[in-house]
Amino acid sequence: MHSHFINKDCLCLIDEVELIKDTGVNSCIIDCRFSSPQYSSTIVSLYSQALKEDNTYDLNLLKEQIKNITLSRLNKGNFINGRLHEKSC
Amino acid sequence: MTLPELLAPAGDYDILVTAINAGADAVYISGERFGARAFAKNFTLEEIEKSVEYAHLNGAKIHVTVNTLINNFEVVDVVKYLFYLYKVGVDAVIVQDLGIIELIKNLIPGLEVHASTQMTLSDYDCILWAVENNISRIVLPREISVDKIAEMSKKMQESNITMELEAFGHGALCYCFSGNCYISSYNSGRSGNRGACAQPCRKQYKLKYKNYNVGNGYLLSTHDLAVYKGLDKIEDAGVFSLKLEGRMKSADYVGTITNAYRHLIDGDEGDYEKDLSLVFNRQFTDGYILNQKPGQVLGRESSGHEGVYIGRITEKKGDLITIAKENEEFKINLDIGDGIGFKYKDKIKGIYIDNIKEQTDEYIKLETTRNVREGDKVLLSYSKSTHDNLKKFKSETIKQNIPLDLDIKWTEDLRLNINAKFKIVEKGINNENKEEEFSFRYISQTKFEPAQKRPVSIEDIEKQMLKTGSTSFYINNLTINGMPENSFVPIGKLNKIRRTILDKATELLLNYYKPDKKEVRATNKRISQFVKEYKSYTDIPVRNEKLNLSIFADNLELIKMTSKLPIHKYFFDPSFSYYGQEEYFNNIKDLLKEAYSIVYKGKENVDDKLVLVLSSFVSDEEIERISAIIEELEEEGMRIPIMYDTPGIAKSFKNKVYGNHNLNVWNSYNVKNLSDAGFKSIILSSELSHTEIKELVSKYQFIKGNEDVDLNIIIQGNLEVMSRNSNIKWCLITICTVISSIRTVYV
Repeated sequence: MHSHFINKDCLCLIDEVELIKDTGVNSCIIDCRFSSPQYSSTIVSLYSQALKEDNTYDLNLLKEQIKNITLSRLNKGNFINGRLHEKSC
Repeated sequence: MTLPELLAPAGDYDILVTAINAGADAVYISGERFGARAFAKNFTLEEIEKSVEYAHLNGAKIHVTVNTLINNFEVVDVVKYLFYLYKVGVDAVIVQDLGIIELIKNLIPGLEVHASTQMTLSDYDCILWAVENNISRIVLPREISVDKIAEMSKKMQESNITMELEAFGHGALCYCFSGNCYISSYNSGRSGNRGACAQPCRKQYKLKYKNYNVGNGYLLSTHDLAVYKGLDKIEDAGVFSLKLEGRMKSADYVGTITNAYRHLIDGDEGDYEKDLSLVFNRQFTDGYILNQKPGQVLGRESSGHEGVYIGRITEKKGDLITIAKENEEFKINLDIGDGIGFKYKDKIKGIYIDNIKEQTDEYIKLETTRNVREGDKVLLSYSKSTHDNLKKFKSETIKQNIPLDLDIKWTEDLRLNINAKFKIVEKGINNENKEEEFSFRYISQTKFEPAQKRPVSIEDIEKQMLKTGSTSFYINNLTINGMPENSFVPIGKLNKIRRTILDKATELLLNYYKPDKKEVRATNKRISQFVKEYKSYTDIPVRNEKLNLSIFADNLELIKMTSKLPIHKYFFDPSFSYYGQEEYFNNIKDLLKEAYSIVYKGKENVDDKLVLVLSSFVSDEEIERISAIIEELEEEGMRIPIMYDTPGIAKSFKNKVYGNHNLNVWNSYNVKNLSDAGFKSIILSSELSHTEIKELVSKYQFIKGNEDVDLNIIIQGNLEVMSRNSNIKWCLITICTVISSIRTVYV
């Protein structure tokens, strides 16, 4: 059997949708494992709104909604600034 | 015992010399970039070249680690670096990044590649993939057992596949499967996959459950591996190379363990187990390789070195203490200069012994001003004699290992006509050695002349020719025929002739390990062309497609609850719901049927919306079982692709295969490699920045050819930071620290 350790902090890039689109990737993924279905479905719903082509939602407000329901602290991982120990990446 | 290769680590040139002198068949080192030990001293390019020469003169090999993951901005630099390593005759590079493997395969096929343990290659499909990718050796994960290795070796023999297997034999273990650990990266910005691991698994933690402390200590720390008791099993399993860990360790450490394993492998008698105990270790475990359980591998009491247990203080009178010797495994006699530690509770105070009042087999009396107590444990942490013995390994020495045959005749005009011959033998798999014979003729400029006084004798010539000094050769056969009578040549001239012959033999020896000049020129041309083309890939593609949203789900309820939302793919990972293999296989088919009906609601599957995620590190047997279930479902009209994280898997499944995050995709050549291996969709590494991802996507457009692969990134969630062999299934790292300071990037 294997055990899996999950980060206590939560990656959240909902307010970076434009930058995500700018990368040119085909899809983005929400990792809903280890979370309750109720919590996860709300998160998925918020991202569905954020990713709409004709999105008129305020992304910061969507992020606030995530902050209100999550038990984790939110971060942006390396997405914005890269890996901290490297001078440039 | 005939384990073909003992592979030692070296963090700098002096340590490399020590390792080779102590008996390493090969040494692995790193340059100043692209090595997984960013904080070791490492080797400059000049030092790498010098190391290659020193090793080859001693019949040893040099493996250079190029085992970090690289982004697209580093592609040109890494290619140039690899070309340099190839030119100077490095014997192999150890690589983790699939993109680097792709680049070497296409640009520098003459460079031998070893797949790093960071790739976690452990199933038969991976071996087949490795063969196709010009990989000659797999460095096995430290979680794999000798039984599994033996199984792999047997399968390879039956299929006539030649692949060297390298296994870790001694040194530090990681808590997590190597290459699948992101805890240092996500929590301190220091990526283990970039050689910058902050070693969070050696720190103290408190484990909390519902705000209650349920465990304290070095919860993620493991004992150190030491397989000396099971060397025969490892050899029988078909391991070609036994690897010693420790590129961050000192020359004393590397010298001690290399010397010990050299003798243990060769079957020599000696106190080598005690030597191993004396240098840094976190107490030994036989490891997973010798079938130990996770609980036996973990060392949660301490993450540092204590030393060899001597006994306890039984009496203290003023400064005079009596230590009763209680170690039943090793006989310990202390000497002036030895280092000992006194352990009270968790703390150890150390002294170097400067006096011994009395010593017997049962006790030792000595004086110390340290504040110690009766009952304190006493540990031997430094042996002066062991340290002194290592001095002989520290200076550069060329071992005269290669037999050289010289056949000496004379030309008609009395010059020496010497035919020299030697053979280089390299150990191969299944005792099939690779041999190459070299011979050359040398005719001296110097002529023998009629002797005016004492003529030169055959014995004089023999005496001078046998002096091979500090070269790799010794004279095996020396034949002298047709020596002109009453002739003379100065001894100095004879010495010069010998030196010329040995220089020529040495040149042939060193060139043997280097690539052919014609091939170097052709490679150089390929690389120049590549660099030119790569630099021309500058147009950033414009995205017109909609950005899709997919989710990882581990339960049906979530799939039901989100079924009305615009979900592109459900990556369904039910493995966390089960506590064992049998429970998983008893239920998985029905569960997939149910998930299928929720996702497609009776409609036709046109877009493979439901994807089954396999757990990491599954066995060949499990792959076969899951493959059979997927085929059965397909026969029942349900097509379900799978997602997994080793590169060889795609050919085991008829349906589409998706690449999971642990494939560590960092660059466009990595994507190309996986695309060629049959993957249809890939998750890019979460360690990448926006700029790196953009560059990857951009460059991939130029190299993808006809095949296209969906590129995904994870944008939300508590990400997996570690996976490992264990008895528990998963836990949230809320544990984190009280004593250590794990920093998190908060935004």
